[in-house]
Amino acid sequence: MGRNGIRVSIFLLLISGFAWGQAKVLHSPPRNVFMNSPIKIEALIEESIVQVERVRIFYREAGQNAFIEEEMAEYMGIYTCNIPAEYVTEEGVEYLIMAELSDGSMAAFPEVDPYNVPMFLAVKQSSDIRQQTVQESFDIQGGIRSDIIILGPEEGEVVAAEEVVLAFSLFNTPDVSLETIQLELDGISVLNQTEISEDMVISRPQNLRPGMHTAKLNMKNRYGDPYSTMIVNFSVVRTIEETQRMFKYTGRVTAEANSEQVRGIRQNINSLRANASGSYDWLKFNAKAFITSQEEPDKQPRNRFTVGFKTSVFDLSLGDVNPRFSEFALRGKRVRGVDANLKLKYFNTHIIYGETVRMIQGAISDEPDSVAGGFQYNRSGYTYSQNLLAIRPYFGSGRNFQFGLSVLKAIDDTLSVKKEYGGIRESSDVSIAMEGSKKPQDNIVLGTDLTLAFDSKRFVWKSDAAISLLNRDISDGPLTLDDLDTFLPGDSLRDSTLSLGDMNISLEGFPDPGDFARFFIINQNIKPLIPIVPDTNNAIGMKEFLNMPSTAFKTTLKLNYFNNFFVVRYQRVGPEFSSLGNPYLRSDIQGFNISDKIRLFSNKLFVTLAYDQKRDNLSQDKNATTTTTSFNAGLALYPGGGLPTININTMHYGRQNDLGLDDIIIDSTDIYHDVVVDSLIGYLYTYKDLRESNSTIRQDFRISHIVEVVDIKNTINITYANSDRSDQIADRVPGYQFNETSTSMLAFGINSSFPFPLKTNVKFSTNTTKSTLVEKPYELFTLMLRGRYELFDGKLVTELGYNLTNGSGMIDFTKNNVFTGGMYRFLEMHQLRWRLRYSLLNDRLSGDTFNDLSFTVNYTLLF
Amino acid sequence: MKKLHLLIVVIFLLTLSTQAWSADKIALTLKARGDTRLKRAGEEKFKSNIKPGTSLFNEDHLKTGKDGYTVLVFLDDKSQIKIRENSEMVIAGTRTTEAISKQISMQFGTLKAEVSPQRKGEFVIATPTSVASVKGTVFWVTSDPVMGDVFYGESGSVEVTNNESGAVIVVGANETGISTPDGQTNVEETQEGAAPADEEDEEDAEASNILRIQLQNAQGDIKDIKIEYK
Repeated sequence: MGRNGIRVSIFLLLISGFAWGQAKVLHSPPRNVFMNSPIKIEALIEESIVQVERVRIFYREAGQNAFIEEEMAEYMGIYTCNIPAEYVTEEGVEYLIMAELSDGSMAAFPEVDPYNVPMFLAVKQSSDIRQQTVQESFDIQGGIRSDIIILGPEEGEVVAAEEVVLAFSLFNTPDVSLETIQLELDGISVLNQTEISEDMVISRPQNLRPGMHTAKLNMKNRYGDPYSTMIVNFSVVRTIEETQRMFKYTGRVTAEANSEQVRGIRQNINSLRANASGSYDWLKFNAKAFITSQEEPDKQPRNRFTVGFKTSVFDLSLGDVNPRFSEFALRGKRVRGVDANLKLKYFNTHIIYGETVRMIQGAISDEPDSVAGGFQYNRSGYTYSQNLLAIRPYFGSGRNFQFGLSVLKAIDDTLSVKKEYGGIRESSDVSIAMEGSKKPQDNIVLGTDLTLAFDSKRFVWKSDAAISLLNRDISDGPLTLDDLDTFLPGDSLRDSTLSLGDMNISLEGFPDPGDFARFFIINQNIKPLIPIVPDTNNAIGMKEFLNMPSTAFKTTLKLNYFNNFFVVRYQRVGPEFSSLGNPYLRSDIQGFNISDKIRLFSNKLFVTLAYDQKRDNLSQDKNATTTTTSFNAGLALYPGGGLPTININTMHYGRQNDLGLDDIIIDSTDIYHDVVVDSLIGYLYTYKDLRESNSTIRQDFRISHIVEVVDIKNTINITYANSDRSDQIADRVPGYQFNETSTSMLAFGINSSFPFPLKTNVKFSTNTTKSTLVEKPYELFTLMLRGRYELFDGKLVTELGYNLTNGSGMIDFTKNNVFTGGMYRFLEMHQLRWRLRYSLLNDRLSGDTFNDLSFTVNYTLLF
Repeated sequence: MKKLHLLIVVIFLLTLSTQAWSADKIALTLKARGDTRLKRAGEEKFKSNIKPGTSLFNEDHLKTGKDGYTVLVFLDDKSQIKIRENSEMVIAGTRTTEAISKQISMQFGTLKAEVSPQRKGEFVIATPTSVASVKGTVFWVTSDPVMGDVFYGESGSVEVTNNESGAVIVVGANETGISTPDGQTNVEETQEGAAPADEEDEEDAEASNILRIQLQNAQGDIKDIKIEYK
């Protein structure tokens, strides 16, 4: 998770409208995304000119305001990240990828306006798969996704030896060629103990020894196309009684050493990742650890540690947790502490307590500055530690009804950063100034939520509301009664009276703000200072109540009927609403969203339609109100029967404000020429045309098809995408520069699977970006060749590959990559992976040539 | 030549019977413990001790004794029926190319139905007292021809029609529906501990009072010492 929400928000604003940098993010969106299944996102960064600092992904459920930010892990030049399953809902997923380069520039995917027009993925229900007789979609192994049902055992099930039945139903997969069926148990064929019929494949293996076992089912359809392998792992114990008392666990430990060289600069990163989970009786538990050599005490933590326990009534997680606590207050932010959830059906309580930001002491200037009365040292680069407490009592399980109340309190520890640092002490002539904009803050958010669900959740109505108070600087503590005397604007008289206009309140017996400091620190830095703004007659009505600047409200109705998943949503987040537990939440926004996902022809055709409209400037205190609209239409066709799968998407995004010709600013302070006009001295001013009306149109087309030639199965993928961003205002002042951008991308790939254990991938793509701000278009051509060969029944896998990248235009380079690698599985529990890459970069702009050698070694222990 | 014709006819008939047999296969037993019995449609006698992995066909008759327990799973959607002790029922299913319409005709006993959302057709549990139509839910039913039926909803909902009065009740999650032979029906909140428990869960509780010590000799033979205590 990101370290600084404000910085991220600014960063995201900066990249809004951002077209392209000196690098490219090369990424193919995943084709098949299923509900409640994580999405693996992979990207390649073309970084010919400068080194990549870091690559981050921003994702969210479609319709949400805030993105969740996560750093993508790098493995031999490929950046990967899993969008967690809980974000993969029926409403779809939106994401963008952002690469930060060492020279401060950035590259993004999508390239044009990624924050406002992120990539959208339509999500299919898992049951959609079942409902298709044969779904001709292909998984990463190259097999056809089948509707074969594993009847037993369940994945991870503990089975008594006498009850082991390996059973697979072919009921929904009528095209199976029965003679091609292969059933293996622990790598050994058990076909001679297997009954095969048109409905079922069933085997009752005898005398299985206690321990872990793996069953694999392979088969082809009548056309000879292989279905993806069905794999089920299970444990065998001696007796039925033991199945209950069994301590079940599973886990993996991965150690990785990565040495990467880019343009002659080497970076070594070592990491250890361990995951374990298990159960005993009614208790389930899990533990995760990630330790990296990139952990540094003067940066926010990169190591992660979590231990969790789960029962039917109580969940407890300790360590690094990312709770989804409430819509507005806390959602996805990392907390290092405790996450406890008591679930008693009718009365429940969710509590989170811990540290969200780690203290960083920063630095102090080496030499003092001379100031009046002595010397002053400057402290910089520090960060206060921040602690968070969130409590949400809620009523009802949520199956039909749930009502919750929530309170979040987050506060920076002002004592965590020492003012006197590095041996420098304050004295009568030495002072220390805390520089920088990072002031300690205090925040409280009160919220409520209501969920009503009927008809097996086909009808769901959910509403959330919250109000916040943020103190932007608590370094001086709360106000005293003396401070309060002259606190309000226009009240400079020390008369023990709080005065505002005609209103006078005696401070005799008035509560001391310091008494409330443990709940919230009250001083002049509170935002908003007055939570409700009266109308011009100083009256407060319903309108003023609804338009409170620090409130947030959202209501969503979901209807799932007649093969339509219809969602309508309205939301309003006031300009002053702020939660330190959800720093990426976009404030000052109001709007609605309507979407429908329609399933047609027995789930062979999916149509997605969505319309979204939002506006800002809710308090009418900005120069202009900006309105954004987006319309998205998608079509996904899975005809089956050996026909290709096709995805077509189009999106139109518009952004405009309400400024007119009269609002063009003539900046008289910015005179840079004097000119003579008709013998009179005149001036040339700078015009500022802040009118905004632009649109971005994006289209994607993807087709995938299997073609078999001489026993070689070839999966052909073709992708075409283009986007255009244009200015819609015709009467711009002369010299106005708008970054009109158009990009187009064509990619063609063939994945081939040979009758012997060889798999090859060939892919090439071209990418062209044109901008009105740059003379030459930026063109990028990539070619990728890769072969993978398996030996010893797949225990040893070797690969060899070559990449060519050629860029021209503003940057001009050629890069050749040759890589080799492999994976060796031994003694069932051990896995060793390695990869070596040699890269030759010819940078024609600088005239430099780089020879870079990188390697990765990765060992995994499975248990 | 006649022999050849006879052989062809025999093969044809065998093929036909296999096809017909195969076409009616609807479910499979995953677990079978204790006294469990099966009678195929058209047969007169029950056969004892069903084995896990036994295929079930349309109109198969299942019976469990005092310690019997069996779990069966349907082929089209993995819907499961867990049948507890002292139960008897007929498993019926009509196959189409897309799904199996399922009907459990329960004479008496206790079962747990974990029913996947039905694509086509329906999932019906019929007792002498009621007919329950299920769309996709988890619930328990105990049926007694004299006392009537009790339905305990765990998730989703089940619609129960009383055979005598025709009254319809809908039993939701955490609700108990009662249907009696004299035509009365009622739905109320499930009381704590009222619903039956899974065989696995109960065994669990029993097993908590067993101390098991495993011994292995030099030859690798393993012996268990089991100490039961209260």
